Amino acid sequence: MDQYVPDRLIIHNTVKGSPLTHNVLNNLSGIPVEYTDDPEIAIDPIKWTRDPLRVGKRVLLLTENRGRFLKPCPGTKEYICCGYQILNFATNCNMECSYCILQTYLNNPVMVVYANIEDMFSELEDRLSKDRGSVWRIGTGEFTDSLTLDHLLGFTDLVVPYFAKKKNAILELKTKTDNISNLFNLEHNGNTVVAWSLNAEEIAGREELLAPSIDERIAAAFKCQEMGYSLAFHFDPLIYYAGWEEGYRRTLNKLFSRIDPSNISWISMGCLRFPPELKPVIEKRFPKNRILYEEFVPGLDGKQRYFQPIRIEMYSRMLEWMRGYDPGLRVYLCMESRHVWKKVFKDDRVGSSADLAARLERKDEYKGKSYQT
Amino acid sequence: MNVEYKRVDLRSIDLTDTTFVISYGFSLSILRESIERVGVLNPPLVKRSIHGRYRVVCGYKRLMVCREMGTEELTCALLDYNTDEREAFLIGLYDNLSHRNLNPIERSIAASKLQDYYPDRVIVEDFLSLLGLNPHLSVLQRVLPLSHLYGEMKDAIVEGRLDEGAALRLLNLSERDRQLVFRLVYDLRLSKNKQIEVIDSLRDITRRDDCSVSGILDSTGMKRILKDKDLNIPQKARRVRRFIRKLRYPAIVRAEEGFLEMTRTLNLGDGIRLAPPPSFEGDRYSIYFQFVTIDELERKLKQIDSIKDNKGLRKAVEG
Repeated sequence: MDQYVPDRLIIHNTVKGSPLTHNVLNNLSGIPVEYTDDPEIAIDPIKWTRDPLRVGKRVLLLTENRGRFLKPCPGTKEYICCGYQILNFATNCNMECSYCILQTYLNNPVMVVYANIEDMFSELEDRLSKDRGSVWRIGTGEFTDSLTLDHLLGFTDLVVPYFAKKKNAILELKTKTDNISNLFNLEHNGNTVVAWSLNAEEIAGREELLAPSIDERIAAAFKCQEMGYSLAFHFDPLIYYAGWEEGYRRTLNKLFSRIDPSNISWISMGCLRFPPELKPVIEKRFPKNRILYEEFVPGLDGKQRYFQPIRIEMYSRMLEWMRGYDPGLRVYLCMESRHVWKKVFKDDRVGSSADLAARLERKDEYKGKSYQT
Repeated sequence: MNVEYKRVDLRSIDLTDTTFVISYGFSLSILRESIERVGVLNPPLVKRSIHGRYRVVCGYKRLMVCREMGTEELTCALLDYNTDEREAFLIGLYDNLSHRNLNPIERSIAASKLQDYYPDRVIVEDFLSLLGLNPHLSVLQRVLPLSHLYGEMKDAIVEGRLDEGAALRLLNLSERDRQLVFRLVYDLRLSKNKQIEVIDSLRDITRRDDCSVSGILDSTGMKRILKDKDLNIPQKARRVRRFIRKLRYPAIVRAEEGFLEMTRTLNLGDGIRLAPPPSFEGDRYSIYFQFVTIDELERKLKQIDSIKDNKGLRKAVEG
């Protein structure tokens, strides 16, 4: 995959001295750099272009996060949520996945990096030291791809060693890229999980534009496995299409032919879901997509979801296939109801978000590195 | 604004030149009655074009009535020849906005013409509120295509028989499909939400199955409904919607029908209704009933109690 290089760099004057800013300036050359006191003014003209989302991806803005870096994943109470915490160091993504919720979620079309990471570490220190009893599962890949900017930012050089020293926290770097070169030789102490979003190859090729192929993602995961990292995989969104069984089975075959299940911390599944307002955006930006026309119903959270029997069928088959590789794999569903959990796992052990969080935090269930407290 | 008042030969005013005109979907009858009774009280404003004829800036409808009435000459206000086109358009726009609300097509025409003179940002920030619209780029983008619809569809919007949102959805269809679907929702007199439901469903089916709307509308089942002389319009509308829904959501409709079939076996009797979770999402089933006397309450509770061991119900609820 070609590494992301913006056409334009905007630096908020407040983060001129940040180590991330320093890294970006060192790693980028020959592109226009603008310094500004007001990023809003600098990026406003993009909002008036014909496709602000496309144009915005070509602009990298380094600014400050004036709010909190660490926030709970915005799950809804109607479905079981894993209780993940998001470390919000950046927003937006340079890849073009047709189904991406960020197309309507973000109020700003450019690639944003919150470069005041001294504040981020100070907040992390404060939060993690106050609650030493539980294991914090923290991820950076909710509002951006965790690694897509890493060759410019060197963010992992700072954050992986930080988490390596933490006894009560796990960092998950969630990505579709193979941008892992910075992860070599980092002291991770088993506290960083590198995770890939996977899909059927037909879906990856058709709907995940500019993203590396499934083979490239698995090859990157294999390299991380060799570096001793724990791994995770997210089949999210699972997309229903004619031939989905064959497509997803093929991806699982590829995955388990190279990855040792004992190195996998968890695998999640989530069927395609989207807020209603995303549909016209997808239709406009990706007129050839064919993912919006299956049988969707309004979910309890207002998002469109596949009719429940379709979801149960997809999860059940996937689980059956995965358990065929290793019955001990820790698999969970992202934002599903207790009813669906029960039907898929044929038991009632996960009946609430707290149950799921507790299950994911149990150290004795980790197949790979154990997380020492 | 420099104007000069002068008697003008109506033949020298080009009413086909609508450069500065935004009026659409109007009736001239009341205005005609007024002009016949008291004459033209406010002289129309016109501007000489480079071809020597006059173009209408304000008073398009007054001039149309006068022409209909056979008036040959009328006092008009002549706008200074050097006034630029943008200024002339704004005079006409503000004149309209000062005394009436624009209909959706007129708002679209106004927005389209403003694009000849201003960038989108200026239109959004300075004009959309004046047009009675929210000042957002998405609103401008939504409103612009309406003026490009066929006359019949534009008329239906002005009459309130075609929803604006539904009309915009029609624009996503091919020209032939657009006409067919418009005719369907118009003839069935569907409400706004039902228009959108039908259009969205038809469009989704065509994309999913790679077929055309005409193929669906020409199917035997649909033709049978549309040609059934025993059905009135609301009955036809219900059946057409059901037919389309079944094509769009076959598994969901099958589940609904299966659930209905199961409830029939419960013999709940009149006045007790069992409902599944909306769209079969979630796990809450509901029972509705009403009663007048305590006896009736007891009877209905007993009836409800009797269904808990029904195999069909257990299967539906517990899987």
